[in-house]
Amino acid sequence: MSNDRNDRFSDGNNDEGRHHEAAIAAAWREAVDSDPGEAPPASLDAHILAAARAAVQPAPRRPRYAVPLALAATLVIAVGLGLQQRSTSLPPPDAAVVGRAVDTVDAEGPGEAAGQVAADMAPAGVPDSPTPASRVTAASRLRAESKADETPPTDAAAGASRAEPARESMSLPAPPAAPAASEVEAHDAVDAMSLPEGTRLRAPAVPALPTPEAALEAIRAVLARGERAEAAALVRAFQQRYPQFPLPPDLAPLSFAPAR
Amino acid sequence: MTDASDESLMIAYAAGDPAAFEVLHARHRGPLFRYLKRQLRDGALAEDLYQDVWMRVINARDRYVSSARFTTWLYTIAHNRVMDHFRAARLREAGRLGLAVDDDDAGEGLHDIADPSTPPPDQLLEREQLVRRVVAAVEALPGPQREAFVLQQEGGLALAEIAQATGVNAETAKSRLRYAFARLRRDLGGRP
Repeated sequence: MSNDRNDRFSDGNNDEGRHHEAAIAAAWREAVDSDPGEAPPASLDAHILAAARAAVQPAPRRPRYAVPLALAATLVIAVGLGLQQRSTSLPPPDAAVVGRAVDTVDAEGPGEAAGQVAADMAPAGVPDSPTPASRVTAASRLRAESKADETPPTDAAAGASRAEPARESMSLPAPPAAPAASEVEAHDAVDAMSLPEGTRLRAPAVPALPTPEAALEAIRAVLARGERAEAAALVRAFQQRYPQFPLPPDLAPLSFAPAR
Repeated sequence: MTDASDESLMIAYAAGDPAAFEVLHARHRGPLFRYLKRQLRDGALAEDLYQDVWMRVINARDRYVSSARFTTWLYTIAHNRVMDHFRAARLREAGRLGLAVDDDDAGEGLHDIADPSTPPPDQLLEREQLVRRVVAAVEALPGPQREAFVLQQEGGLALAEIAQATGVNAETAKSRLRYAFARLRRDLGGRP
């Protein structure tokens, strides 16, 4: 603090004037020094210093394995949920069904066995419709397959495939189950889990979450409108949602602004 | 580092040294807060703007140039924030802050006050009362005079720096400061 009084007072050059000014300045200094309320709160200073440090620290780099790890975790959760739903909504297959499936595998191969097990494990409420389609010839079956490749499967077609006797399956190509499974969503996991491999892993469409950067931009927009309290609430919500994401310096003060 | 100038500390902070900012902050935290408190007359509001001013310093670190004195720069930011506040809130003080000094004080006789460097004869109570009266008298000054007084006493700013920080010419700053002292002498002339 400079003491160059001459630089400050044009009219205080006389000794009396300087004396009075010095007296007032000393009284003022004593007043503010003796009042603890004349200093900012220590907590406020701590926040400012933390923000100052954060501002000059390099932004944390996202590790390379973050994305693959997130994808793997998502896949594990999706499969786990599917298995969980299956185990809670379906009764366990009885021994006769399993035995027949094993026999079918022995006779026809894994593709046919999967279709047969799917038919046997269908819920009791699903109407079996032994239509004439189950008695069609190989030629008509081939025509039906070519049509099924172009159009979504119907319940009748599925019922027909479920009602197919094993001995007919032995002499005919497997029903086209893949197109049906491609449209299955997670809430149909029961049916999906009974379909051939490679056709049941489609997850439901999940709305994309906003990125932290997008959320911060939205908060800045609120702040720019002068809605400081609203922006502070959004910052707190942001911190709860992204606790590891550092707040930028321009928004950091809002994190400890008093809720109003 | 504690002996370094404010300007070199600010440059060091802009270059990535957070310790430099800590020294800078420690030097100016009290004076800046008191300046804001005197101008706003509201402790909670002063805390808000105090924090805001420091955040602006942090965010503007890359734009700081060493040719400008740090203290002048700091109080220019603070002055602008105070003015922004009054404008936004549309308080009546906004007009007073922008007006010329109160010319009614010109030419009034100056009165002696007790010299605080020499303690009153034997009564500490009298000293405490004087301290309270000094604070009250400063807070009773018109806005521009009060600002000039606090910038000088707390910020250690010279006349030219007060003028720069408050956006007026040097003569206006000088007048404000002179009238401030004159009024304080008048108000504190009598014994408590």
